[in-house]
Amino acid sequence: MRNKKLTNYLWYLLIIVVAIPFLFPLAWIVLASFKTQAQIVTTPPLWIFTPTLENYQSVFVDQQFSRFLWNSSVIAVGSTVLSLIIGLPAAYTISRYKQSTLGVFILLARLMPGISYLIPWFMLFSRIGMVDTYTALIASHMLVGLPFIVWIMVNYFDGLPRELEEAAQVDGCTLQSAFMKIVLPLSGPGILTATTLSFLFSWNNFMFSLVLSSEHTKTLPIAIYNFVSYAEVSWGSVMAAAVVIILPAIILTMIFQKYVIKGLTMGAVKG
Amino acid sequence: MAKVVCEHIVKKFGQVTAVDDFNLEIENNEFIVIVGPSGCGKSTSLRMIAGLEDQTSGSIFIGGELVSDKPPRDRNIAMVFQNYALYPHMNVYDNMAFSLKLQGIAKDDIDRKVKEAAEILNIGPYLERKPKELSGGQRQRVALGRAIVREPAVFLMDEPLSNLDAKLRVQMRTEIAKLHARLGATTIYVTHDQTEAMTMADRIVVMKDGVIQQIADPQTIYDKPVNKFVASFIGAPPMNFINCSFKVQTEGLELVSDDMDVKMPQEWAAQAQKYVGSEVILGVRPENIRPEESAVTNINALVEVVEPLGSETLIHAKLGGQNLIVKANPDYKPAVGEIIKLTFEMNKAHLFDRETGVTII
Repeated sequence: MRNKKLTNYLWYLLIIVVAIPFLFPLAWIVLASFKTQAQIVTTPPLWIFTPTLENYQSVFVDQQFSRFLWNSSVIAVGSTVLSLIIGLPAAYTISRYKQSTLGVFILLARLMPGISYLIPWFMLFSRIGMVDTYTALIASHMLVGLPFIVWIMVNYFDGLPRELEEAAQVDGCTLQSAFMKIVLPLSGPGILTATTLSFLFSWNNFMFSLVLSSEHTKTLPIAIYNFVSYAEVSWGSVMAAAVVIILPAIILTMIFQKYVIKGLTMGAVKG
Repeated sequence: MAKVVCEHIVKKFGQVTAVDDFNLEIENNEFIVIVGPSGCGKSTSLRMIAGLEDQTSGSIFIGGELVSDKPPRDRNIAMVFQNYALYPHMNVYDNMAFSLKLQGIAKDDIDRKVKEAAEILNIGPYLERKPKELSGGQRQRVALGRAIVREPAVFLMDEPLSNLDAKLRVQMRTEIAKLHARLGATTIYVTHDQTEAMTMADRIVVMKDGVIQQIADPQTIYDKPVNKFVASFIGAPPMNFINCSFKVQTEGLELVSDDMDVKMPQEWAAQAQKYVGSEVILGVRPENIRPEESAVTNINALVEVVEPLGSETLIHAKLGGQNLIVKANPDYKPAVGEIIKLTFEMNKAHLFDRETGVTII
């Protein structure tokens, strides 16, 4: 019994040691977002201070962060929803009709480095006058989000017994209604996983937004550079902006973590 | 209730022929059992009748209507799957009501039909439960209930009892038989269990390697198998097969093997004439062997294992190099290693062609 208690304590200690490098920077960012510029750069670091909201005021009022928040939301939601609309039926077809070649082609898009798409994307969209539009950014974000969704959902659909859809077809469903009424409701955890990961990818994406967005469609990761000038870096505002960017990701992950972990490890063990 | 006709159904998967020239006419209200070993094409045949598999060629008629190219929902069938295939996200009531809702039936009528079926199957108390909260037998009843509420022309059942334990299987077998008697619906039942086939069927279809071997009522299949495969598949314990050869003696023809000398019945002479001098297979069921001497047989077998079952004794013996099972009275228990005399009831024995397996007698 004592050995078991000691082992448990050691495990907790190990978890704390491993978690510190991940959680410390997060804690630093949150604390710094409530400090003044002087308090941030003070050494030794200040752990007890009077918090201020001036950084958040700078972010939302002076820098109009609400607009960038809106842009990021539209693009992330748009690319995720469209990826789901296309990706779910595609994944189902690949799973049920053993279209592995098609699946490989879709996954190739995921395997190619994103940066290799940038120049062709820019040339294409600038030719047709679509740089700095939601359409261009949603399309480019779907390039990664869609294969992600297909990859996760093919594995998930493979695990669903075919007899359920067959029973639905015998009961009176068409293939499409069996998919909508039986397959999709049973795929909730997989869909949540795919949606969360696709949304987070789009939300955090820097590269595509750097090249394809401008004044009208600037997203949060790009906007954060507004706080960096030749003269100084406004650390407080940068930290506040970082908190605004990180917060949705943390909230989504906290809510759906059970499904994300299950979705990522699905298929590893039979049953 | 409807007649089902399958004409020259063939199913190929690439180069592999899973079902070859499947022809079957099932009368209205008949209970047909398709039986055979795993991979013989019985489930594939059932799925083609259901419309879940497309046939490579051939025609299927249900109620006189050609349904070969129709999807399952347009064939007026209901199916019970091996693993029940209950919708996990719906409770029992919704599982049973699902097909009726798709048909646009009024809510009150759906309620009435579901509750009637639930009462027949004794699953009324479970209507609000999800499938995961039910036992195997309860789930199977729900699967049956889901089929019953549709009042289909044909019931299709694909090994519905395979996932149940032995005791529950016996119980559910009786339930299904009672249900059929009550509803009188045309039923096509697929199983690998010959006991289910023998006890439930009006007629049995025995399949092997995609080909129908024999279609007949259970007693005919048991007493008059058309070939060695059917003879070996139906009956528990299975029929004994003894490789032997014909010998011409002064008294008549004899079948001879190691430690075995059997006078052939006179009535066999005409049919077996052309096999004189060749090798044949003698088939005798365990219950048609008696552990005693007789004038027509001279059989000495070495007892290897004795299995007292209470109501009978199974004796596993060796006849030369060939295995034999004898079903004897429960009080007869020979010693292991003992040489026993056996008599075959030749009027119930069979003779098979050694090359083709076809029944000679």
